[in-house]
Amino acid sequence: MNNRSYNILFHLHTISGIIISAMLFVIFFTGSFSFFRDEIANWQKDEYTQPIDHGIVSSLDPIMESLKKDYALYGRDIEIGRHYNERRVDVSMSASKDSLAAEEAKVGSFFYLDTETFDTYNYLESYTLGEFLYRLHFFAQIPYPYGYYTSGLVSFFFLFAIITGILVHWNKIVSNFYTFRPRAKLKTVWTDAHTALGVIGLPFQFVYAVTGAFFMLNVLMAAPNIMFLFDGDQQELYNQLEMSETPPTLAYEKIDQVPSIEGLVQQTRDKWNNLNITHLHIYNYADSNMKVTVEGELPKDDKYTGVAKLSFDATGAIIGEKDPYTQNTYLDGVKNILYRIHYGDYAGYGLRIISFVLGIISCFVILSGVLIWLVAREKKSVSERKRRFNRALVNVYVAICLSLYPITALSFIAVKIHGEVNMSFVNDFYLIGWLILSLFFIWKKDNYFTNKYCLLLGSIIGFFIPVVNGVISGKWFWLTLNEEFFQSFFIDMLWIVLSIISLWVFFKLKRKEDPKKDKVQINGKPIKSTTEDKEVLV
Amino acid sequence: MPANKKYLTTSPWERIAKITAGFIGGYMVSVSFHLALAVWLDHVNVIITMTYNGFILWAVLMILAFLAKNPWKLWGLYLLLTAVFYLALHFGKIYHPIIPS
Repeated sequence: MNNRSYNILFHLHTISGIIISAMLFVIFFTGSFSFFRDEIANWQKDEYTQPIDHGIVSSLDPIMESLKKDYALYGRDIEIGRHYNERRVDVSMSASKDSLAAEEAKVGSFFYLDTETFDTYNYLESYTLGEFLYRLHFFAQIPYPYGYYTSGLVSFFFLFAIITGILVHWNKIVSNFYTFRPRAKLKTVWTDAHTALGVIGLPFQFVYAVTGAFFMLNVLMAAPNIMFLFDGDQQELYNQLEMSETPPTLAYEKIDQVPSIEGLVQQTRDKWNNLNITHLHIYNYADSNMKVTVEGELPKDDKYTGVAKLSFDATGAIIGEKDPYTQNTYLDGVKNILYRIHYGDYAGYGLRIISFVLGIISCFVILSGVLIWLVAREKKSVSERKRRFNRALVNVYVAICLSLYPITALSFIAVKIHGEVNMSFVNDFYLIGWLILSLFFIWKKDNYFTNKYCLLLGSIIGFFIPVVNGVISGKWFWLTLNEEFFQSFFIDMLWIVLSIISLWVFFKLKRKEDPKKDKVQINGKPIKSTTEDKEVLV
Repeated sequence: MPANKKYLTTSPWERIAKITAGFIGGYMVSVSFHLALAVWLDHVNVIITMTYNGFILWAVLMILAFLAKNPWKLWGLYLLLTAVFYLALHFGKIYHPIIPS
């Protein structure tokens, strides 16, 4: 690569990186915890399910009976799905299409239904810390669509940054991979760590950048298709991509004998061995033009993309079928893979733990990149004003990013102690707490201090999380290592391990205050900050 | 270690041209390329490919825009490519209509 290209790419990597860095850190940090969204949700609510995903397992008929008690169902489209590994399923109902229906049947409805107690909860009541962290990782707390689009753009520029990053690093990719000089000067340590970990994480990060852009910015790809290929017919695009089907019209003919929904689901389950039922669409309930579509997936160890669909009419006769073994196309493959590789939910806990670790490594790559940016500009040729600005910027970045750790830990305790939580409680507690912590660390103006005490705080609070869980729900972690309560055990263990590691790092950091080593050396692991950076910043 | 400034674009107009060529022009080329392919090949497969490849190609075109020596010529090239793909799309729609009539 010639010098010109190298320097241009280098500059692009630097600028795009520094602009997205803090937001990307938030995305990766909260996103890593989102791998355990369902575990966190169940841990918080003390409602446990089987750790392995089996789709909708509870019988549909009692669910339909309980719906009938509260709603006039005739002429409605009803959708029941299980998106998360929780006891609650989500139910979405359209307004009745019957123009003569009572007023209260003319409004649609969406809620969660507990499959054991049949209690229903609206979205705000069903909110959990797991959901909060998951949503924060695409900035859903910022009003729609700004939060979504911002996170999408961050994801896209992240793609830009990793491509330019790998190109800049290309010539030294092999030699530098084996280079780690922890005793060299600080900039070298960060550069070594940034490049080595960046290369290790590259495939992972590439996948997340592309799929993240797809999730949040797919409108940019869908809109031109609708405009130019389908002449504005949005429904037609979604039909052809098999993302929705046009609902049949109402015949205005009530039927007496509505087929047993559970019977239809069971029929689908029996047709293909072991099928996990994911979704259920009921169109025109109790009408002669009623249609039921049962959707499911084969278990992942059976077939990676195995989407199944069986449609029935009002008499219970089969009117449509998609065979998961023979009728899955490239289209099904892409749709499945784009989600699966982002969620990492197809190979049990092992894969999610690896993904979590890679996510946290990415956080480290991001932050070390910011610190390289700062240190590289700490020299005489840069004006004092600019240097002061750079330091202030990094100070703010580090404070915002690292205080995520203690506030996340503290929120686990808060939701457990508070018991019945709703959305505004989680939002207020987390966001205000995060703000206060950030402001405090910004005010301290010391990256070393921020790093050290965020780790310590997070670690101490983290140790209390299993204790609080034990005291409040009685599920002490030595009692929960069984299939029934494994999710509780997992979250407790996650925090114990995180706390031990961060406490260890905390003590490692302390030793480096040894004045003899202060000037040019640091020893040990790729730790985010050291005494030398304190010198730089104070 | 910041990038050596002597290799970077200095004129603000040229810089704006590069940024817009990469961000807007790159998007136009990436999208029109996939749309043109969609009408001539199996359109469902191309459309679903576009949902991820559209972003990758866009990012690559953005990088190429910054590497160009003359940003104005590059804008011209991206516009030309978009026009060619648009023509392919236009005629493709006539010969292979997608919407079932």
